Amino acid sequence: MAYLIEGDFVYLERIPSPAEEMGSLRDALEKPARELLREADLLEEEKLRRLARPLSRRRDARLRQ
Amino acid sequence: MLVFDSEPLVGYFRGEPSAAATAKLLEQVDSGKEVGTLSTVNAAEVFYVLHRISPAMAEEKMRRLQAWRMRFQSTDAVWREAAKIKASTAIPLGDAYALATAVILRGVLVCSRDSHLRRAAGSRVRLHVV
Repeated sequence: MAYLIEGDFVYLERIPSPAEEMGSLRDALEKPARELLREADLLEEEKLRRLARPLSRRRDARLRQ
Repeated sequence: MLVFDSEPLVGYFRGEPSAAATAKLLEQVDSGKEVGTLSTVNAAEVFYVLHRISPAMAEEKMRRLQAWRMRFQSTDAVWREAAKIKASTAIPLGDAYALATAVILRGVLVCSRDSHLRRAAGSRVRLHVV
């Protein structure tokens, strides 16, 4: 059993072992880990694609808006 | 030293088939038999996935990792290597940071069975697949 102490003496929390904690979010996380992380990857890829476009094209696109 | 990618940790909290193997590694880190490291970029990935569901839960699980002696590796010493990996391989930036952290710290990279990292790592680092 471990305790985490934060601040001056106020906060005590029992820390479960890694074996006890395993699967603790089984009900909270509906999608598989890979899918949850993949959603952010897609956003990142889109952003990188936008940044990779030539500057003139991006400026043109901005002017058109 | 074990360097964790974010996917095994999210899968561990979710109780996916790899969770028992990841729990064993976390037990080794908790007991001090192994040093466990997580790039702050991968820590952010774990955090935001949990934060979307519950900010309090995200804080609680990050406290767990810290209490189990997981070290958080800042990007300062790693970002250039991560960028080189990202430039040369088609993997997400988070994965590039996990791989770069393992390369720079000469650690064993803990990743999932079907991770992009298995292909991208090549001979750069040793992998521990969960």
